[in-house]
Amino acid sequence: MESLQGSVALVSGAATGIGKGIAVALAQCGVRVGINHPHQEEGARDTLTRVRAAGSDGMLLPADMRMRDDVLAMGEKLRGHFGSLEIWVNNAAYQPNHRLLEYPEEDFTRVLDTNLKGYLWGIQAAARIMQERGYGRIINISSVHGKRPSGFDPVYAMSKGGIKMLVREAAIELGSYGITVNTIEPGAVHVGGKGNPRLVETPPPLSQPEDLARRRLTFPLGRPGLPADIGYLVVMLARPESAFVNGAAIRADGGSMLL
Amino acid sequence: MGQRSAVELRVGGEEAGGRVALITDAGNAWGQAMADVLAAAGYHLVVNSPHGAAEAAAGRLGIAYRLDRRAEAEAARHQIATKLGEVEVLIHTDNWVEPVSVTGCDEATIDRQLAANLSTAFFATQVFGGAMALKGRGRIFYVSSIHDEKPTGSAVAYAMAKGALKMLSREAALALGPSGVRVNLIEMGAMAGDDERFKSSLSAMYRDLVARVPVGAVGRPEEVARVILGLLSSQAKFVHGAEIRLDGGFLFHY
Repeated sequence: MESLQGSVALVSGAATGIGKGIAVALAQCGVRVGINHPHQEEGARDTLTRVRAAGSDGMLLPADMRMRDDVLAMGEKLRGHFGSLEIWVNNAAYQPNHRLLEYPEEDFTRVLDTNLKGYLWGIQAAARIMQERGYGRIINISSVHGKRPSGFDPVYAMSKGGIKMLVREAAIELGSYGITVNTIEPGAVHVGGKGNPRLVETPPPLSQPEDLARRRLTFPLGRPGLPADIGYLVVMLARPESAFVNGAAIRADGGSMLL
Repeated sequence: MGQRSAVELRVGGEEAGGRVALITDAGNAWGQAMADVLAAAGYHLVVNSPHGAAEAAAGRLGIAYRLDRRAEAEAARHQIATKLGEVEVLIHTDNWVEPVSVTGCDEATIDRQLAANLSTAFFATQVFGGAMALKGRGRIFYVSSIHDEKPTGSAVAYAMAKGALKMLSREAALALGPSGVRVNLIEMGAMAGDDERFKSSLSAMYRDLVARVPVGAVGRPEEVARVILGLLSSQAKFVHGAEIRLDGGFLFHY
């Protein structure tokens, strides 16, 4: 297999949670990582430390993914610093958890601006750089809730349903440039709480032996997902050998959606 | 088709009983057909013209609100409730396709397309669906598109909006079903004019459109309206959270 060593990736929302796991997994393969974050200094610095500890290098790229011009500039800055850009991971998302009838209008706008329009700006930023070389891997972290309703955040699910179509459209439009565009649909991933600046590497502990049986009713494998589970799939899709995977969605939920 | 439509019309007529039905965009072909079919079945029609007041036909209440904002949807509800009572049937017909590529889509275009095709559905659902839930009964239909699954190769912003709308329909089915509100979505496709509307240099799906539709004809707005009328029957009350693909089999041809 060809090596990813020396490739350059941008990961949005890489200060915390799944994004942190993706940045670390890429760094373990020798990928240099642009660590985007909105305003989470502590978590972003922790990610950079882990990226370097894995033997790679990275740079912090604070930017609000809702701001198109900032996102386009961020892509150029990363390419300018490391000399290329082969991999772009859209991951940053906002999920305030309101019920349908009470959903505040400002959060409706913020969720769509961040999760849906932010992914469009990310794809545009990646495409304009990758088109020059005729090669690129764009990977979008969506959710099982792009297909199954959540019951806890309708607009979050709507944004993920929109991503599904954005990815399919981008896959057929950018294919001729050697750029593939794919989706990963995680189920519940244990990140240790919103905004946790540390990497979570083990599932939450079970207090009682019978809790495992209860947990299996939600998670057939007896555990929720971990950031590294998603990181591994990003690495797989980012490889040059994944060239024929385009416009696909890979559900990564341990089989939960089948229950 | 003709015979079945007659049965549906009769069922609708018996059950309509002067119920208030709102068409969110009565300015396009689907909204107009929907209004005509429901009025003939005995519904009290409210026809919204989001792009400015149009003359409403006799016996219909014409309104002009931009339903992509909560406050406007509230104002619309207030006007309708004062004149006719609460809306019991909400038909979201807004479908506005702006051709735009992924790499060429600017902020103004995505904002216009999401507002017209998605936000209108969301705030109408919040306001009118909320009122239906309080009353313990109501029907919501979203007249959407096969492009909530199939990429267009020509109109990314529209497809994104419809992909999101599909999830709104599923979420609303979960949230409002227990309160007696039925929520469903129509995925229309291969409609007359779609070969122009979705003209693409990336996809050949709309070339020789009629030849690609297994029923051998493109669809007309009246057909969409009649299917919805049939599903408004109380006999169809178990149809909930469903997506009904209405495309003459088009999506199976490639």
